[in-house]
Amino acid sequence: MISQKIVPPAKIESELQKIWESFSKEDTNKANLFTLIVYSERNNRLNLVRDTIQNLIEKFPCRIIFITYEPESKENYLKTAVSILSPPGEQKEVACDSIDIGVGKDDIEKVRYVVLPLLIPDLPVHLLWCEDPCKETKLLFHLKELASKIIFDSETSNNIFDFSKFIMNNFKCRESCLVDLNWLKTEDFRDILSSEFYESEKLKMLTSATSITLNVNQKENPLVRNFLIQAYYVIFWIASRLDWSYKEKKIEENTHHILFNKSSSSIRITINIDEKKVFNSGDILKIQVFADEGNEIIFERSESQPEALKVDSSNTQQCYLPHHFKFEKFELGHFLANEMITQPISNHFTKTLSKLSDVNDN
Amino acid sequence: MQKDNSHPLEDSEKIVKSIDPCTLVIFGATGDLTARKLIPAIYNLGKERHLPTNFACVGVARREKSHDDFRNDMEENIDKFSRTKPIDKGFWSNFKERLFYHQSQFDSDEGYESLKIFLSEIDSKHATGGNRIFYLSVQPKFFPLIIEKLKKHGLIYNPSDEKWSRVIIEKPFGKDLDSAKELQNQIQEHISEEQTYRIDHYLGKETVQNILVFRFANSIFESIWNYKHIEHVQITVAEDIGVENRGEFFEEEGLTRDIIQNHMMQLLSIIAMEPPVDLSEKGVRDEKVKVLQSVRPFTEDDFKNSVVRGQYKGGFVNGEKVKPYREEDEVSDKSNIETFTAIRFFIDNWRWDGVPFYIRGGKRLPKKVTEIAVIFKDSPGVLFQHKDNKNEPNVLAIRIQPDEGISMKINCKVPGPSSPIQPVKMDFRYGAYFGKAPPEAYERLILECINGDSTLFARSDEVLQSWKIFTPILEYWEANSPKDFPNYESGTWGPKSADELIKKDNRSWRKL
Repeated sequence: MISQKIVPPAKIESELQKIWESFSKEDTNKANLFTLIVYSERNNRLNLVRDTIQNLIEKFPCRIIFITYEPESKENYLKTAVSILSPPGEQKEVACDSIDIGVGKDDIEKVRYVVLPLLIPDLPVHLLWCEDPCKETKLLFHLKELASKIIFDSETSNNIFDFSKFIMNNFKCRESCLVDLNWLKTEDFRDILSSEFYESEKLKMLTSATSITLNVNQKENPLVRNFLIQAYYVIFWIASRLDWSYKEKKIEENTHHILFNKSSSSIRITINIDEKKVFNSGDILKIQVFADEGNEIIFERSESQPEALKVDSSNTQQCYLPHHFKFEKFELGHFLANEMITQPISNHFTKTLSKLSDVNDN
Repeated sequence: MQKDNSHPLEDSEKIVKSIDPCTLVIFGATGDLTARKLIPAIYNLGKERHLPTNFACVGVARREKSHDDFRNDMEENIDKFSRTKPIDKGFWSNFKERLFYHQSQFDSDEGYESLKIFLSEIDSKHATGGNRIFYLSVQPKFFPLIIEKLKKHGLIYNPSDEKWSRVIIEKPFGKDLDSAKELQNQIQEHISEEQTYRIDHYLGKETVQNILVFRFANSIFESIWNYKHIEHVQITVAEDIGVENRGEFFEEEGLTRDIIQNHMMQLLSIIAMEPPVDLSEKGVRDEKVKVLQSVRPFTEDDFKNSVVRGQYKGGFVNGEKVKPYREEDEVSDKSNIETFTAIRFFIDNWRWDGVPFYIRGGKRLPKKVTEIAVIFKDSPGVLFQHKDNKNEPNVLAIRIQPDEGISMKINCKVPGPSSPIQPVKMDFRYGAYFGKAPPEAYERLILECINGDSTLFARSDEVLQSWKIFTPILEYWEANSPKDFPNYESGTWGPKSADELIKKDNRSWRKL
């Protein structure tokens, strides 16, 4: 990164231009595939967000407009700075614009006016909203009109059910362009489940399942409070795909129970909490699917081989040889980049949110 | 099992993710192509999560080798040849468990029987579902034999079966029209056209696929893509290397069979085709065939005036002294094989009436470059053209490799009180936007085959039509030995006759 230069908002473009001109003798290409607006409060998650962005531009360079808000600031302020970001490595073949907007207290009102002229004409604008969307809605509602894709971070919300309700109530008309970072984290599991239950016999077993048990990892991590979100996403995704309707949810000691109604029966979901050091908080460690006639499929990750997922299936007659799936190294920025650029619009996420918003968690 | 779009868990938009499980069987597993291209391609596909989750790969070759020997060799090859380096040890430790080796002679019935048993074991262990791709990375003489044996031993299913089997065949597909037809007949006895995937790796290149996007997803170009606006088209496939260790192969094939008849004709078809009705395999390939069918047949006069062949002498390439073709290993010192070809084509259809397509390809040229250049007609000369000083024509250059991208040459006013006009370039470079390491062509093609999409593979009528164009030229050459071979210095842009070919039309080759 070329060190930041603090400039007044009116000079952002011209100062960026000067920096690029200073590069003219080097073999560095300016590459801005789209504009990414990032919003975060000044808190302990900020570095995580910045790492994700750095990770993202490795894959797809873009103009970053990074808004950092300090709501509890003693005074109003709005400061802007420019720099050039490049992927790590010695050779700076590709680099992109980075514009920082630091804002305190009521000056948040001004931000949308600062942002508007900075969008790259003709190219898509994406919005990464790294705070609870229910908290600061004014700027969000302005920026959402500019964005072709809106990425939330449900981790910042109080709970996934309120988050889902808020999104479904306020963004319904934009449902085809929404995504959540926690949703991206479940992509591997969703793909594996989809693949494992691909054949009609296996799918039949899933649709007739009587209970499903999930084990979720919880370990001390100040950046993860809502460690159950990924598990909820997977369960409510299955429910939305198989047309299960939510009936009730309760917590007994450390175990969460959810009951869904199916066409002629019901299915009980149990979420147990584990603590394993090698996994991240919120990671799903195990899924067990139980059906009639002793049919059972277990998906399990082990500490000795965290990137592998073993699948064991059996019934009263036979026990099949286990097989393995591979979990990819999770680089959030790369997943995010794929989501923005290469993934087509899918309604699986919003159908899942819709199912989650049926839950009243009060 | 074929894809069922009604599957509730499947995200129909994410077509890549829920592709059928399968096993890829590579015949010729100890060969150069497997080492340099195929295994690195499979590794990168796996690493980037494009392969089906239940996937295995079996290398078949004649040499004795254990699974571990094969895995170790492939690890070295990935480290050396993969576009992503160094090898990701974490990923590899898991991935290599899905790589296997099977020793067999290509004509041994026992070998195919044991392969069948081995593949069944893999199916049950790795849930690969019985679906199979056979990649024939072997000399073409083995194609009919291997396909016949695969069919005989039940390794190839009928197209109507629930499980699928597909066969990928490397070029060259025949030596001329007759041999290509014969090979086609031999293959067709055992497998259907839908099961046959004739690979032309040029079609797997991102920049080649982008030609379709460029032409048909940008409305401004299609309206001027015709004889009214385009003056001529130049296609260049230049290599700075010589024949390297392929002397024996080259003596048999020559440059025209090696790259012109296949790769360059693919480029020509894509640049000249009509918009397809859809992007299906039939839609695209039908239009490509029509272009080849419209190529004006060569007459005796054309063999002399529209076709040029050359062979390199010694010279200097990249500052290094290089030897003449006739002194290369396994090459006859009296060889008359061409290492350079330039041809002027006309496509006799409505769109391209009277527009010449000049193509040139060669070895030991000054640099490695593949480019398609569309040269537009001059603007009316009433305003900015001065006496004796015509403006440069607009040129749209599509660079296939290296430095992939698209540039447009336009005329621009030089700042100042007078108004001299200077050509400038608007440049789009792939690397600047999408990184320096686009997926290798083989990655895309293997993936397309797993997906059962043959759009990027050559269809039999396409191959035969191309041979129909080139066989008379090759026969003429065979009957009329070149009198001036070797006729161009290494490190130059080919023989003088190539310059004359285009000069007599008052045009010149682009300086690349």
